[in-house]
Amino acid sequence: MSESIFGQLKDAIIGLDANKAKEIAQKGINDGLDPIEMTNQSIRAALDLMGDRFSSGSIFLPELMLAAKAADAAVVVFEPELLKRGGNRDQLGKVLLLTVEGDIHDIGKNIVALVMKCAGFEVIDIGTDKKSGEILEAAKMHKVDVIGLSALLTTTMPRMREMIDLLKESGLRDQYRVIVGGAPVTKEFADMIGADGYGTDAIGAVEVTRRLLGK
Amino acid sequence: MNPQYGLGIDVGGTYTDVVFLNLTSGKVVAYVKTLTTRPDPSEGIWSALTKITKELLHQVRVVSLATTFATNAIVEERGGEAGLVLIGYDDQIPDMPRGTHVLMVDGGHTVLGEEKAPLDFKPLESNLEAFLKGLDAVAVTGFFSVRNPDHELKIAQFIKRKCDLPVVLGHQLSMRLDAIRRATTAWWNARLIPLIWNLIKGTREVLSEMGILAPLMVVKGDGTLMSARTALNRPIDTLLSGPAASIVGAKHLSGSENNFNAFIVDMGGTTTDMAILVDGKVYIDPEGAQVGRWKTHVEAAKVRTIGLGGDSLISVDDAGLFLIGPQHVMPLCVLAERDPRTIDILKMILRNISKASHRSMIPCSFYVKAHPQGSTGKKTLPNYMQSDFVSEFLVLGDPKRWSSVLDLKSYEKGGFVVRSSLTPTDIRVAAGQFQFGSQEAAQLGLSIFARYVGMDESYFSEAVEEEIRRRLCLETIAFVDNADAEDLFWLGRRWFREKSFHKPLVDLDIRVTLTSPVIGAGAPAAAYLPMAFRQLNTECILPDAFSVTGAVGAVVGMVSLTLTGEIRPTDSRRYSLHTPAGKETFNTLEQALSRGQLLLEALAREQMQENHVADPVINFSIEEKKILTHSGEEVYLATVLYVRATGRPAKSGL
Repeated sequence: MSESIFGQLKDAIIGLDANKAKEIAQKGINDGLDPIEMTNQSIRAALDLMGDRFSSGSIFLPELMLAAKAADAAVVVFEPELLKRGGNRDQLGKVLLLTVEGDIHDIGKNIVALVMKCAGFEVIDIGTDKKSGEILEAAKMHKVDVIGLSALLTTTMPRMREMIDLLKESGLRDQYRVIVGGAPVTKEFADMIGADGYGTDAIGAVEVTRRLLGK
Repeated sequence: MNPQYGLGIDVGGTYTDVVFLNLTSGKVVAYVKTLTTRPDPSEGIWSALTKITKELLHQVRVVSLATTFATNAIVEERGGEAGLVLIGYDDQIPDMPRGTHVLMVDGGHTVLGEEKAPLDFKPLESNLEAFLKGLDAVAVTGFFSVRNPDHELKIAQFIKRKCDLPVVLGHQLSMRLDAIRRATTAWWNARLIPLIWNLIKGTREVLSEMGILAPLMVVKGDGTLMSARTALNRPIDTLLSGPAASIVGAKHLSGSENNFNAFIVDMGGTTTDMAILVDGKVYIDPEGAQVGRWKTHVEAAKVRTIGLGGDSLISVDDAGLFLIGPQHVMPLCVLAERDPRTIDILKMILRNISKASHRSMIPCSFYVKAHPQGSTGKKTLPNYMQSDFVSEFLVLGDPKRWSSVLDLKSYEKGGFVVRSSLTPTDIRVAAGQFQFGSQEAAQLGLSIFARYVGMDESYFSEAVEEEIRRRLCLETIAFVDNADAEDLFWLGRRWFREKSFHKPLVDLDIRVTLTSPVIGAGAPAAAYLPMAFRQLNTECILPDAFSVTGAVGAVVGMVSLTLTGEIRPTDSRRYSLHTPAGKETFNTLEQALSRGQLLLEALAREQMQENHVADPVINFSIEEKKILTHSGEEVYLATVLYVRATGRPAKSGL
């Protein structure tokens, strides 16, 4: 029975069906399945697969987003259960996510947020068009381990460098790992501005975050 | 053409070295080693100079000084009283001792050099008198002042109208980011100002007494030189100047090619400094110099300093293992020369010593008054110090007086009492490898210690030397391979300790190889370094005059400075130029570039003149920071401007 719930949940996400994903997730909880195991075996597996398909060009961004939404619907069901267990959720680390000042694109960032949550990170998403001062305040307040900066415009990419400079000037550069991403962002750019990591896509972002935190 | 002569002076922890060098041929003509004097090092400089003929001294064209005074002051947390004004800082400030005068004012700038908040003079206006009370100097630093120094300059102007104290500005010391380190750097610079004034004044008096009228230079922590006048305002730049001078000197003396890589080991009386030469240049710590717990922005050689030298204290730990250092003491051979009673007491101890019962005692250890003829200041010494000469063995022989040793240790810390004991120097003197002080005292000390640990004398001497070589190799591994390589360090530790004493017939062996040659420097270098580095499978070069490399490096050094500026795109598609002269905005990149070059070159020329260089070589270069996106679009981030000026200091008009 439980075998099939894992399979069904994975299929629901790949089938982009949020309602079904939610329903199966609830069923799993009612049957006493471990939400972490479900996250790892079903949701991550589904998102890894969709991520690969997206990377290879066999699906497009809207499909990936719908899959992410379906995954999120399941995660919402797990969340109270996970919180009850305490601690477990933030064992991997706390990540602050946002889109930089002057940039209101949030699709990419939202997908990264979802995939990271599913992977077991605690994600604090403070939205779009964030000034470097606000970002630093949020990072301090939430005591995050990682700051993830997203920019979708070439004109807002310099804001990423400014954020890193602000951390340096504040004497806090060692306190946070900074990762950058977004359509125009390249590895070369990440290296040039002194970021700690760069992911080509949401899955890549999770991988680099894991590596940075030594998980 | 007549040869040009220079005088190099290196004031170290134990010794003051003076070198008289032919600048035209690069050859050392004469050198002298004397003991460093405290608190006034110019006495030691004077006594060294008296040993060089007047005729030579009159031909000196430039004098250059390397000194550990800044490093020592920071390690010992000693200096003038300095206040700190912080502009636009939040709760993050340097961790300064309680009672430090700190004034927080609103203001500061953003990453692009725009005002973060208007500058607020009110806290200054209402508290200035109380703030300035008892201070020797003031440091002022602003948030992002390296992007716009305007607020620092305004506060400095305000303070200077009210008092005559030196005012240090953060952006003038470093253009690096990190407001905390900038504040630390500026505050320590301010604290060092009264100390360097005394040092420079004393040195100048000695030089003029000797009839030397040449310009006085001071070595910086990166091995380059600055004029004494510049040093008076930027004493923090002398951090690690001793080791840096030694690297430059070692390279010069080894006559190596310019693109040479080497590992430099300078073993002195108190410490051993390790540093790296990359492509013939001093390897600079990319993080900025760190001394003790203080992290600064000073451009200085990356140096590992260990408390191991010729005059290190030899002791035994609870497990019966030898410890060399980190404390340094007066060798017995020196004490006996200063006070002939030493020999008789050592003979008496040797008659009474048996194998140790309590390890905490060092049987041949003495405490003597720091200033035999002079007073000990206001502090009175305990009764048994009236004889100004105490043997640890005799005190500890009487259990009622054990606690006195603790007292003595605190007097020693205060500088009223000097400890003397068996050192590696004594062991070499005893063996006749080195003529220095009383060989008889050294031999007696060695006999006492060997009997105390129940060893044959020659085996004991060998064990001490083995331990020194082991430490040198391990510290090399830790330094070259970074602290991250703990595994290798521990493996090496085990290897060096166990493999050197027990050699089973069938065993595993590992070889660690240092890929660069070692250039050895310092008085005890010949005794230990060549054999030590054979264990790391590399050769150790000992140049001529290797015992005075610091003084050589001081005088062969160049004046060299790099000024940087940066151009950044603004939100409104204009270009802002950030230089030490301030922030300006331009419509085109070309305008910003030519203005930046003009400003930096003028500043470089001015600074070179202040450093006695009349005809500097000035190079301008830029680094464009731009990248292509995946779609091939160009993103422009910044242009960094560099002006590098170099030259040799010389007496003007000659």
